[in-house]
Amino acid sequence: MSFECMRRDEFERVAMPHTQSLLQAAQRLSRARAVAEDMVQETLLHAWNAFDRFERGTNCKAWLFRILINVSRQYHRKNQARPVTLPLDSGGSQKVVQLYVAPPQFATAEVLSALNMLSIDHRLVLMLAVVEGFTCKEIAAMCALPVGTVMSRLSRARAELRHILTEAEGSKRLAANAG
Amino acid sequence: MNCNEAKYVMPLYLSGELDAKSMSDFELHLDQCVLCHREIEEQRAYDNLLRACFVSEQLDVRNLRARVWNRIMTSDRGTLFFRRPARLVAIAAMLLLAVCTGIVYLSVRSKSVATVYADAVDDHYEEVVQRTPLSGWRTDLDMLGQRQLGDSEIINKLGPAGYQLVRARVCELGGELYVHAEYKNEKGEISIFIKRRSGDLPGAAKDVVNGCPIHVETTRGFQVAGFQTEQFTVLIVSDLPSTENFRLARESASRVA
Repeated sequence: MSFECMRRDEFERVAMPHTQSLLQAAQRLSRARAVAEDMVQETLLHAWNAFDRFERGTNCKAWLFRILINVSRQYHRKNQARPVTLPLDSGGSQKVVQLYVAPPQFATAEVLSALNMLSIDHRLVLMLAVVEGFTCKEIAAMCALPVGTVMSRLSRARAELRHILTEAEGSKRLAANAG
Repeated sequence: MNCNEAKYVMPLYLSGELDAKSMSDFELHLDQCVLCHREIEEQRAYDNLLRACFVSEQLDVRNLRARVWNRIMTSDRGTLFFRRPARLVAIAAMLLLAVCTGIVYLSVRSKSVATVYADAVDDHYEEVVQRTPLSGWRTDLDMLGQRQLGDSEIINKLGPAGYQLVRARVCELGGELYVHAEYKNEKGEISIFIKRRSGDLPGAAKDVVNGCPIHVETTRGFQVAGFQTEQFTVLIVSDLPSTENFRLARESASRVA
């Protein structure tokens, strides 16, 4: 088997299985399937060109996500789209406390829609931590941020997402009562 | 651990990055604080909700993967050659060989340049200036000219005006046989080295007289001026000023060309 065939086989075995995860994250970052596919394609091409420099035995998924984040930043720099950010409700400690409130049932579309309303920085850390299972330390390395920044972004992102979904649930209830 | 500290480390707790001591402190706080307990449970629940959305979201990536491979194959056609280590090594070896050959060629060439002029100067210095006693000096110069150069007149004809031919002998410069002729006037001696032409004199010509390119060189304080006719290669060596030595070469060239 030639060197090039071996290289392709290894790339197919090590990198290509992460295409779906990359596409899911790219869709959440770009909010558009076509753009997400372009971003993933570019990510994998970058990875292929730099595959000789990839350290065998290290986390290929983390390496690919690091490339995706750089590609995503380039896309967003081009588009300069302002993300939607919502103010956080403060003073929660003054409310009546229930020991544990199970989240209501949400449709996938509702959750994804709420996720899309977060700023791109918050969406990114939430995706990487919750969906992809990266640690704060890994995310910090990928995004070239201090771990403390990742932790605070993650806390805010979780709080924002919960806030948006709770608001949406409240509106739904009001509409149902009115009906 | 207080509530603020607990909230700060919640992301690390959820990602399993807390060390044993911090984990123990955090869980102790959760047992004592209803607000933080509720907060962490809700965070965990919403995380699960979000994760479930993505698990259920099955994306068809076959077309995308095919597109990527297509792009990789297309881009590889242009760069494949340079990625193969064996070919790279072969190219590097060929380049190295070419460079080495060039270096050797240039050094040999420059050495032969130095040799022919340096040998002429050495012979002039030892045999004419120092008068080192050597055998082989001849005075039957017509016969020597005829036998070595195929022209019995040439040694006489090359002598510049005012110079008298003294003697001559066969010598070797840069691996080739020359006739070394000594001329003198009232001011001193000069040497003229002559051989049948075979190849060009090294270096760039300073002037051309009657179609003869004239080369000049300064070595160890002596002046060398060389020229070539169709039949002969001639070197004039002296300790005269370079312009004077050059003038002698022009004069000889105009006479024999």
